[in-house]
Amino acid sequence: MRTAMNRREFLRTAAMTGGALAAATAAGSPRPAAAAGTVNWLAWGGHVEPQGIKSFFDASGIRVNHVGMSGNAETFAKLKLSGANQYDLFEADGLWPVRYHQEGLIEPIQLDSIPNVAKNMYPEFKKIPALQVSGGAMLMVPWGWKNKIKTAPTSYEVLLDKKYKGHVGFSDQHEFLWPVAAYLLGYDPFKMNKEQLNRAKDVLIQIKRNAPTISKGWNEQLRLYVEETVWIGLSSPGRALTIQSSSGPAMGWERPKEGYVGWIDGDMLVKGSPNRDASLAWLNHIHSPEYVATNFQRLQRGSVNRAGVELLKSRGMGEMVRANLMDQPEMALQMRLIEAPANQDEYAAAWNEVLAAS
Amino acid sequence: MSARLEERATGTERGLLWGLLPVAVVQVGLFAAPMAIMFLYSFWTTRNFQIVPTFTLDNYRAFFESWTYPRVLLRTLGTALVITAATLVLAYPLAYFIVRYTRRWQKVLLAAVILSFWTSGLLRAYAWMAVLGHGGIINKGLRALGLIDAPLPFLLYSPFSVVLVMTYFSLPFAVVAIYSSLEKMDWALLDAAGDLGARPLRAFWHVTLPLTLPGVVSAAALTFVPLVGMFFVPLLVGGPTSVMIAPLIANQMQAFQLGLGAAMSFIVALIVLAALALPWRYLDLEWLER
Repeated sequence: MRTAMNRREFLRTAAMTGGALAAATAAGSPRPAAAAGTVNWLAWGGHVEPQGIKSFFDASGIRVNHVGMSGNAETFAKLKLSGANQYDLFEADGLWPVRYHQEGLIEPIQLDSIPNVAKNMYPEFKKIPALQVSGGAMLMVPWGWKNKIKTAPTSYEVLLDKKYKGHVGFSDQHEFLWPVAAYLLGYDPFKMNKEQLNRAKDVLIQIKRNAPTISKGWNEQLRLYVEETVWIGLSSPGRALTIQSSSGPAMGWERPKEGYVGWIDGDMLVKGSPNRDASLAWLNHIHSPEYVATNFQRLQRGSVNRAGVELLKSRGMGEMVRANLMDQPEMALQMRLIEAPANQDEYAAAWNEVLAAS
Repeated sequence: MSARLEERATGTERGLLWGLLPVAVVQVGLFAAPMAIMFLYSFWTTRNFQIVPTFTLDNYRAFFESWTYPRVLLRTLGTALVITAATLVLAYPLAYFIVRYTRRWQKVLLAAVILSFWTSGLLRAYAWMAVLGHGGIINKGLRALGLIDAPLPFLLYSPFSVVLVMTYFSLPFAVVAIYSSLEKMDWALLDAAGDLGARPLRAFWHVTLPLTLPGVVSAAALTFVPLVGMFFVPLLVGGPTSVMIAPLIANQMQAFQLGLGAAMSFIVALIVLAALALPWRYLDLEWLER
C-alpha cells in the first residue's frame, strides 16, 4: 500500500482542502443576499421559532437563514466594519435604529404595508416618534419590549446598602447599569460627560462591591436568584414570575422613583436588500398571532402584538400576560429607551474602570 | 561531482520552499495579515463610531495613563503565575507516575488525562459552577451533614475558584508536555545515581529534574500563555473584583474602540513575549542538551 505523497499530490491535496474549507466556511456564513427566495436574518436567538420558519417555507418557498446576534454596540461595530449588505433584516434595541439610519444602512418601513402588523399590532407601537421618519415610516418593526425594574423598595439606593453585600445582582450589561448611577446622581443616562461618568463610575463600583459576581446573561441571573445567592437586582416585572416558577423564592418588583430605562426591539430592513419582498413577507409571518404567541410564551416579556397576546389569554395564560405587562402597552412608552451615547469611547473606558476596580 | 551535489541541494531547498508555500499562505492570510491590520488600528482612534486614520500614540498612552489597566494586567500576570505553578506541581507527579509506574496502562491513563479536551470548555466551566455554587454539590452535601449553616462563600466567585478551575483547564497541556520529556529519559541514569549513593530525592533533584527541565519549561509556557488571554473562565467563576485583562480588551472592541483594544492586545502580547524570553535568556540550553 502506497502511503507517501509526492509534492505535486501534496499541493493538489492542500489546494483541494483549502477549497473545501473555503466552501465549508461559505456554507457556515450568511449566504449572499443575491440568492432569491432567501431572507438572511441577523436576529437574537430568542426571537427564532424553528417551527415558524418551517411553516413559512412550506407556505411561501422562502428560506429564512438565521444568524445569531449579541449586543447592540457589538452588532453595530460588526456591521459598520463588514457592511450590512450580507443581511436582509437585522435587529436592534431602543433608539439604536436611529444610529443605523444616520449611517444610511436601513430602509424605513411603512408598518401598515405589512398586513399582520397593520391588523395585529397595538397602535401605540406603530408610531413611536423617536423611531419615525417623515411620511410616517418607521425605522424598525417593533417586536417586544422590556423594562428594567428593581425589586421593592422603591429606590436604586438599596443596591448600595451594605446589608445586602454579596447578594446584589450586577450584570455585564452596562447599558442598563449606567442609568442606575445616572438616575441616582440626577444625570441623563446616555449623555453623561467625562466628569459625570467619573462620578457614576464610583457609584457602580460601590454596587459591584455588593455583588457576588458579574453575571452573564439572563440564565445565569435566573440561577443566582433561584439558588438565593442574589436577593435584589434589576430585571423586568415578568422575571419575578419566572423565578418563582423555577422553584425560586417569591419575588416582588417595583418601579424605582428615580426613573427607569428599557428597550423596544424590532427588525430593520437593510437598504437596497435584493430580497426585500421576501423579507417583508417574513416580517408579516412573524407578526401572525400564532408565531407571536409561541415566541412570547417562551420569551416572557412585553409584546407589541395585541392579537398574539389575546391568543395567549385564550389559551389560559392570563397570569403570564399580566405579569409581563403584555396587556399594558402604555407602560412601554413610559420607559426611557436605551440609546448609543455619542462619547462611546468615554463610556467604554469608564466601564473598564468599573470592571477593573477591586 | 560537488557541483552536481550543490545543484541537487539547491533543488531540494527550492522544493522545500514550494512545499512550505501553503503553510506560508495560511500563516500570512490567517495570522500575519489580521495582526498587521490590528497593529495599524492600534495607532488610529475612533470617534463617534468612525475610524480616524491619523497616526497617534494616544492608545498606548491611554493604557499607561491611569493605574487601571496596568493594575489589571499585573493581577492577570500574577494569577497566571500562581496557576502555572499550581499546574506544574500537580502535573509533574502525575506525568511521573504515568511514565514510571503504569507501563501497561500508560496510554489509557494519558488518554484519560486528555479526555477533557473532548468536551466544550464552556460546558466544563458550568460543570464546575454546579459543583462549587451556593446550591452546588459541595455546599449541599456539607449542609446535609450539618457541618455548615450557610454556603461557603469562598468556593465560587472568588480567587480560589479562578485558580482551581483554571488549573483544571491547564493540567492536560502540562501533563502531556512533561510526559513527553519523561518518556525519553534514560532511567538507567537514576539507577546509576542510586548505585553511587544518592538518595531518591537527591537523584531526582540532580538527575531527573534537570533532564526533564525542557518539558517543564514547555509545560509552563503552554500553561502561562493561554492563561493570560483566558476570557470565559474568570468571567464565569471569578468574583466581581477579580476581572482579568481579556474582558477589558473585549469591552473596548465591542464598543468599537478598536484602537485602544488593539493597543491593549499588543502591550499584553509584548509583555507575555518578554516573560517567556526571560527564562530562555537565563536558561543554560547547552546544559539542558548535555
